[in-house]
This record gives sequence, C-alpha cells and structure tokens, in this order.
Amino acid sequence: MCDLHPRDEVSSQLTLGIVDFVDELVVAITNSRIYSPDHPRVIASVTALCEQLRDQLGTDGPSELVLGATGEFLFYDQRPLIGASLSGNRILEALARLDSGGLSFSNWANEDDMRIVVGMLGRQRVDAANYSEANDLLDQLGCSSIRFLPSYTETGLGPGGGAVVNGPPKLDTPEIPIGVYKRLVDHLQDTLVRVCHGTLLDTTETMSLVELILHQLATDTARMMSVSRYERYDAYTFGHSIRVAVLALNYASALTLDDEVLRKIGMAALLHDIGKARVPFEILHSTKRLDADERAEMNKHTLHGGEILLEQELPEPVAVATAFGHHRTTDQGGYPGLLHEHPLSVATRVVKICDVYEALTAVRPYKDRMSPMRAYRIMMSMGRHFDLNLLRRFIEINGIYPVGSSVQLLDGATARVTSQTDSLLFPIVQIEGEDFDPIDLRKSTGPKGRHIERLLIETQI
Amino acid sequence: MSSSHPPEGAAPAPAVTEAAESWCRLARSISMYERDSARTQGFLDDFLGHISALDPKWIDTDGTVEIAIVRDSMYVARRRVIEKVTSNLAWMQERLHRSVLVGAAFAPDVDRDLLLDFCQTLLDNYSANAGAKGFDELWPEEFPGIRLVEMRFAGVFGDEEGFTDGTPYAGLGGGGTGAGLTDEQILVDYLLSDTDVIDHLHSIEDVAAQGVDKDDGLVSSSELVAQIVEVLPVEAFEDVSKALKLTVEVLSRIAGRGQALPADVAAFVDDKEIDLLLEKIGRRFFVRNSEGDLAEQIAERQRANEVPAALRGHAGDDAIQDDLVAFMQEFKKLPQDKVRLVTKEDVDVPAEQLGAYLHYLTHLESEEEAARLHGPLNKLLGRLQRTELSAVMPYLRPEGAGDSYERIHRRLATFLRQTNTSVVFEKLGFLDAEWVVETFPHTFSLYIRRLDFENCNDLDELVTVCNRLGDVRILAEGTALATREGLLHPHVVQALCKSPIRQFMPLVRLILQRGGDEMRPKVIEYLLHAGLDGKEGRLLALLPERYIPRIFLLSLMEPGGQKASSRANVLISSNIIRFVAETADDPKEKASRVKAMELLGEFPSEEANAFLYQIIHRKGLLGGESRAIRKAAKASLKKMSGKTKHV
Repeated sequence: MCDLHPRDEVSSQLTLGIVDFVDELVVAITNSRIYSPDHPRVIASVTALCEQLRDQLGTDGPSELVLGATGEFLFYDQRPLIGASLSGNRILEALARLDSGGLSFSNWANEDDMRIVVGMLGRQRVDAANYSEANDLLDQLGCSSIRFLPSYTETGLGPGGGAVVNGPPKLDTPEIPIGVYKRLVDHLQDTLVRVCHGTLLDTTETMSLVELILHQLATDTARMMSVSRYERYDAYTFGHSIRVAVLALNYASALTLDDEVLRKIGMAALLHDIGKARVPFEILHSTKRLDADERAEMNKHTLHGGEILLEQELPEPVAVATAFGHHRTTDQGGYPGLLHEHPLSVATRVVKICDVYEALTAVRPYKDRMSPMRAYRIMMSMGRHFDLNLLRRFIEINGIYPVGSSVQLLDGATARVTSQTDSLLFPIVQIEGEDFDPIDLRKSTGPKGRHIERLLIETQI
Repeated sequence: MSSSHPPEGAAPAPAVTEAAESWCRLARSISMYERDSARTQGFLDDFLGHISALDPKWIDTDGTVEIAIVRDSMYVARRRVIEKVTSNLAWMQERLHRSVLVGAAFAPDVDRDLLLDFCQTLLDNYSANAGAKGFDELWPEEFPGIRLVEMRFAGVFGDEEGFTDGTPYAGLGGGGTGAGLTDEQILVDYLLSDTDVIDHLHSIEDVAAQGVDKDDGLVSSSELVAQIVEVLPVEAFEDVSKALKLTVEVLSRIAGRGQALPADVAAFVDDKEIDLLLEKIGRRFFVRNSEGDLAEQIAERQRANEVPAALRGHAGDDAIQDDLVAFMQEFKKLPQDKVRLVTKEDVDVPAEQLGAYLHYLTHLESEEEAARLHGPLNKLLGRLQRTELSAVMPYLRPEGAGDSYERIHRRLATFLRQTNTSVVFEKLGFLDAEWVVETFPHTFSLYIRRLDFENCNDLDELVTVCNRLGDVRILAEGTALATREGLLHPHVVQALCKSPIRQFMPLVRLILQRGGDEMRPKVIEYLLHAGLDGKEGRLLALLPERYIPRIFLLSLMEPGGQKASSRANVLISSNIIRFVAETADDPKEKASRVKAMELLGEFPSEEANAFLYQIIHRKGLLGGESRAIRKAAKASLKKMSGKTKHV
C-alpha cells in the first residue's frame, strides 16, 4: 500500500469559508457602487467583510488571506472557487484592469482599509494603471494591510520539459453555461445599482438576456436547465431571479408557440423580485426570522417592484403586473392587500409557481435543497395559492426528474434526463457512458426494463 | 509522497497507454453495469493487470502509478503518454474535473472493492456537483491504495521565477494528498536545508525535551517549519531570503523564550510582522484550541437560524416528505383542463394591469408619480370590457375615512376628470351623484340619460347634484354640456323642463341659450310650472310663445332672481304691443288682448306709452277698440305715469 498523508482539515475549512468571504466582498463592492463611502450600508457591509476575514483567518490561522485571480477564476489556496467566480466577476474585471493576480488581505486589515479597497474594486476607473500603482495609491490612502498582487503566472517545467499549460486551466463545467450565467448576474447587479441610483434600467439588455436564455433552452435544454439547480446562494437574490427565469421560460416554452409571449414572461420572471432592491438592507440580509414589522417591510418588495418598472420610460405592463402580483393567490389572498379583486395573468401565475418551486428546491443559508417531488407535494397542499391547472402542467413539464438532472436506475446505472414524456415516472434518459441514443423509459419494459430508482443530487431538509 | 521525476526519453510503451485507458474503460463500465457483472470485473482485472505489469520506472516512490488527464492530454507518472484524448478519455476528464481532480495514483495491490468504490464516487460526484462543491466536500473519505491528484492552481504572483511544483501539471497538479510538491513544501525543504534553521530547531527541541509534551501540541521540527511557512506572508514565497530571515527570527524567538509561548506573545516582541507570526504559531503549537470544531460551530449557527414558517407548516401537520405513492395520488387529484396554447391575451391581461395601476394611482406618495400613471391607465381603460373594469369599483366607493380615503378619492377623481370618463362609467354601469359632481361635466349626460324623471328618488338625486354643483359651475360648463354632454337631447330637454324644480334653472337656461327655437315652449312650460309669479308669470301664461323673446326668458333665469331686466322689459313691451296689434281682428283673442293691455303698464317704455294713447283714442264702430280694451289701456297708462313721460 502506498503511504498516504492525512487530509488537511484546517485547509478544507478555510476553503469553505473563503466562499463566504468572496460573497461578502461582492456585497460590499455592490454597496460601494450604490452608496457613498460613509453610508451606513457600506459601513455595515465592510464591517461584515472584516468579520468574515477574521473568521476566515482565525486567531491561529495564517496572517493573511490571498485571493488569487486568473482568467475567469478566483482561487484560494490553489483551489478554484468556481461558484464564487460567477458572482465575483466584478472583482476579476477590476483586478484584470490593474493587471493584478489577486489581493492579499492581512489579518490586521481594518474597516477603513477594507472600505478603501472595496471602493477601488467597485469603481470603473481607478487612478492607477497597474497593481503597483494601485498599491501606491493604497499607501497614499493609508492602507497597508491590503495589497494588490502582481499578475499570476503559472509555473511548470517550461517548453520541452513535459506538459506545459499556459495560463489557467480551462475548466469545462458542462452542466452550467458559465458565460450566460455570468452575464445574467452582471446584468442583475447592474440593475440593482441603477435602481438604487434612480436611473433608468437597461431593459434592452434584459430582453437580450431573455432571448439568450430562450436560445440556450432551445439548443441545449439540459445544459441551460442545470442553471435552475445551480446551488449558489447570493444575498441579493440574483441567482434566484435567474433560476426562476430559466424555469419559467422552460415551462412557458411548452405552453405557447408565441415568441412575444415568451419574451414577456421571461422579462417578468427575470425582474419579478426587482423590488427587493428597495427593501432595507438589514431586512433583506437578515438570517433570523423576521418579526411582523420586518415581514411587512419585506412584503413591500412587490409594491416596490411594480413601482420601479413603472418608472421606466416605456413600462412593460406584464412585468409591472407580475412584480406587483406574484405573491397574490388565485383565491384573492396573499400580498399586497388590495381593495379590489385582482385577476392574475398566466405570466404572473407561471412566475408565481416557478418562484415558489425555486425557493423550495434551492439551497439557502438556513436550509438544504428539497427534491422536486417534495416541493410539488408542498405546493399541491397549498391549494388555491396557485392555479392548479397550471401547477399540474408545470409538474408535467418540469417533471419529478427534471431535465438535466441525474438519476440512478434500478440496475445501478446513472442516467441524465434529457426530456419529459407523458409519464412522470418514465422520462427519456441518456445513460452515462453510453454513446447510444437516449432511452425512452416508457418503452423500456419487461423484466430487463430500466426504471428510475432515485434522483441524484438531492439532499433533504 | 511521490517525489520521483517522470521518466524521460523513449516514447511510452503501448502497455502504458493501455493501462491508462483501461482505467477509463473500467469507470465507464461501472456507470453502465453492475459492479459484480462479468464485464466490470473483466475491466477491473485488465486495469490491475496493466498497472502491475508496468516497468518500475512508471511507478512513483510511494508505489503507485499516477494517471492524470490535463488539458486533453493523458499522463502516466507525470509524463505525457497521449496527446489527444479519445472520447473515452474525454468522458473521464469531464468526470475528473467535476470532482476537482486531474487524476489518481493507484497502488497495484489496491483492494478491488475500494477501487470500484473510488470509481463509483467519481461518477457520483459528477452527478452531484454543479460546480460549487470543493475537493473536500466531494472526497470526504480516503481510499487506501489510491492517491487523489487534486486540481489546483500552482503558480506565483509576479514575473519573477517562482517555485515550481515540480510536476508537469503546471497550474493543475501538485495538490491533494501527496502528488507533487507545493510551493510550501518546496520552501519547507529549502528552509530545513539551512544550517541556521537547523540550529534553531535543535534549540527548540531541547526546550521540548524539558517538559512540553505532545499533548500540549508540540510537533516535530519539520512540522514546525512547515507551519511557519504556512503563515508567512505571500511576499516570502517570492523572496526566499525574506522567508529565511523571517523563519530564523521566529525560531530564534521561540527558542529564546525557553518555554511554551503564551497566546499574547505579541506583548513580548516589537516587530510587527514577527509579532504576528509568533502569535499565530504560538497559539497553534502551544495553546489548546478551546473554540471547538469549526464545523460544529457552523452547524450550530445553522441550527440557530430558523426555517421559514412556510416550510415548517402548522403545528400538528404531518411533515410532507418524499413519497412517490402519495405524490402520484395528490397529482391525480389536480384539475386537468383541456390543454390549449397560451396566447398574448392570456399573458397581457388589462384587468390585472388595471388593478396594479389603480393601486399605485391611489397609493403612491408622490402626486407627480401618480399623475404619470394617467397615460397608461387611459390606454388600459380603452381596452377593457365592463366586467374587466370591476377593479375600479372599490376605489369608487372606498370605505373608511381619513387621509388614505381622501387620497384615494382625490387621485381617482383627478384621473377621471382627465380621461374619457363617461365611457368608463358607462362600461361600469355605475354612476352616482358623488361621481357626477366629481367628474362634472364629463359624466353628466350619461347620468341624466339614466335618470327616471318619473322616479322621485332620481329627481331628488338630480336636485342634490345641481345643489352641489351650483349655478355658476353649471353655467360655466355650458358649451361642454350643450355640445358633448347631450343636454340638448330632446329626451333630456323634455324630462328636465317637465320637472318644475327650481334647482334645474341653470340647466334649463342652458337649454334655452344653446338650443333652437323649438326649445322655447318647453322652457316656458318649465318656467310656468316652476312657480314664476308676478307680471312675468302672468305674461308667460298669456302670450303665445312667439311673442316671448328669448332674451326675456333668459333674463328671467338670471342667477339670483326671476325678474326681467329693464332691457328685457322694453323688449317684452314691444312684443305685447305687437300681439295686441296683430290680434285686433281675432275675436277669440279678445280677452287676451285686454289682459295684454293691462300687463303693458307693468312693462313701461316710451313705445308702450305712445301705444296706450293710441288705443285710448281708437273709438268708433269701424276700426275702433272695445271699451274694455280702452279701459285697460287707460289703467295701464295711469300705472305708467310717473314712470314714463308722455311724448
């Protein structure tokens, strides 16, 4: 037997924590783009970032945290931070502009230092041409605990000495269309900033992204639908909005042949929670149970949402109505409370279903993911909260084994669901490792027939 | 740990590439067939056979054969053996990457079941990881006899020549549980080869021998150096001399202390950088970690966060679980309408949008923002049918009082006054006195057409409306009422003029003013029934309509009174004279003519004075006036004396 070293547990925990640190950094950068440096929200997020840094480094850990950046990845301790790289695209861009390979945060970095760096990362233009000048600038500003690092260079044996890898590895993550996801996150971040600045939204870009999702769904449904299961959580709910949009567009694609209808639903889905931009930061980010007043404030996001969309030059009425009414129920319940009976369009009903489904099946700081089946059971138990006809159609179209998800068959094989059929239990699957055409499990009958034993990837609460 | 260098020189033997590929075939077989199946077992035999038969130069010092796939190239013992991967290898690369691996090293005597478990985990990770899980989450267990080669970035910050990990997987290798050397390991080796470092370590070992045992966390010299390296600043990795200086300084301080470092070691040193390093090293090595397991802390924190109420259900509820049978039963109970394609009309629902817009119109804080909704609302109203407009109703009759109520009412009224209001109310089938007044004059004709003038309640309501509007406001909107609002519609004229209600006076005046001559008899009828008394009343009752000039009637309906003006009196005086003159030969008008002569005295004018004189003197059987006429003329003349001078 070979001699194997024990695993480095401390390193493992640090790697897990760095993701939280990057998330906090993204929040702080976003806030710095929206507010002045002395705004309470900027101060609060910078304070939280410093706490994260201290938590991350601990009292007996390393003296500094080095966040590396190369190509499209942030990395830490040599390990790629794939998820954090998506939400941290702005960090990557800012570092690339300075030809910097990362940031080094010393454990004595205080809130003032952090605020300076966060401000620099948030700005499109910094009075520095490269990382060296950026460090000079930091020095001038009195910040010595955080440094921009020189560009990152891969090391190796060099030409002729064996395998040479120039630049960062091209990580192929076939399940997530990273580029599309990044563009969506970037756009929603930008949208948030515009809302907070009171400037008009770039609805043209929103519509372009809706069309991009539609195109991706049409060309590779499984790949695009994997976004709907992508478990990155972000405090600003960008990921949630993206996943709801993908789910809604996939669902709606089965409901209509009209491209305009799809675009309207897509726009409505992508912007349905835009009102959260006006929910007080402390409430939106609260990890505790909200009290009645806080809940009431949070519920106002539907009103804020419609209002924001109405403020645009050419308000899209469907998006306005969906943002306004996606927490209303078909039995005239929900919020906002209204004087009148309020009919809900198919767009709102579709988004509402996808919104709840996503919330149930997504990972949150306070819960693990839930299986589609269990989510459906909960939704069915909610009665007239939903249009039950549409809920039925959603279940049929999304399936209990959604397209793109992996399942284990009774014979032990692993398969990927490629499309639904008229039977929920028997979708069409591609067996892993087989080059054969996908199998319609409805037709795989008899003693040697293949059936699904379980859905993989799901963990229960 | 592997530290041998890859074999150089000759091209790899087919057995090497075959060994590498047989691993991929084994993994693919596990993905398709039972692990006990003959096929899988056959691939397992193949693979183990291949790696056992390899030349020793392909075996690492730890006794393993390392197989990796990096950037579409396959490596064995860190030597590239296949430059372009086949579909089988690409399949494997995909699974490796998703598992945050570039490969694995296998001992030839690895346990067969463990090898299959490892391959199965590799496949499971592929399914389970969407890109967010790290190496440690994906590989929580170790597989004795198998060394994982973790995907890692190994490089340097800066242009200087940095430390190499010594592997060919630049940027991707070197991590995991022992493959290749990391920057830290190379630096540790370098430091351990320095005599200064070794001297200081010996001193520290002497300290340890004096009483600090393993239970207090003291570790070996090499481990101590490794831990120092771990906390060195990143610059130290670019500048070896700095790393050496710092390490020696740290070791020197530790050795010089002669005892276990306290946690507040910082108080004993002055150099900040050294201070920080010492603090960390001191805590790590000499102070027990009392903070407990970090994972447990995280779990505790998660437990402290409450799950939202929506997911907890209500007290007493059975928790909803994954249960396929129950799910299918519930699913079958869902309604199933005939499937039809969703159209634009299903998505773009004006009634829904109206509800939202109305809510904003009546609740937005800013008047200006509320006003901006008028345009979109107007467009919507044009598209809505009667039933779809029902959302408006609660806003038309909001319950309650206070600022909120008043704002709703005011905002809606402001909007409705600026829109095609009557269409809205017509579609709604609703219009009460309140909204007629609020939206006056836009809904007036709709309102008045819907009134039943035979119904006392309706008439009372109209009186209320007229009272609330006031004469001035009604008259000010005369043009609109006459042109757009259908006040002159025969039905309306008829109904209004038949109702002898004084509050209708301004409306009747508008009818007279804006309408044709055919309106006059009805207006006269109204005036007569409305209780016009005195000489004006008697006059209207006496004279045929054609002798009553419009200006006279209008003067009777001036706001504030029913007395003709002096100018109108002159005019009516002429018409009385005309009547008397034109009916001279009409015996049926004899009585009327007498009454006319009597009335003429009440409308004094010079013309009347002269005419009365003529009548008085018009005697005789032929062409003369009757005694009654002349007597009436005398009386009138007498009445006028003092008012008008005789010419």
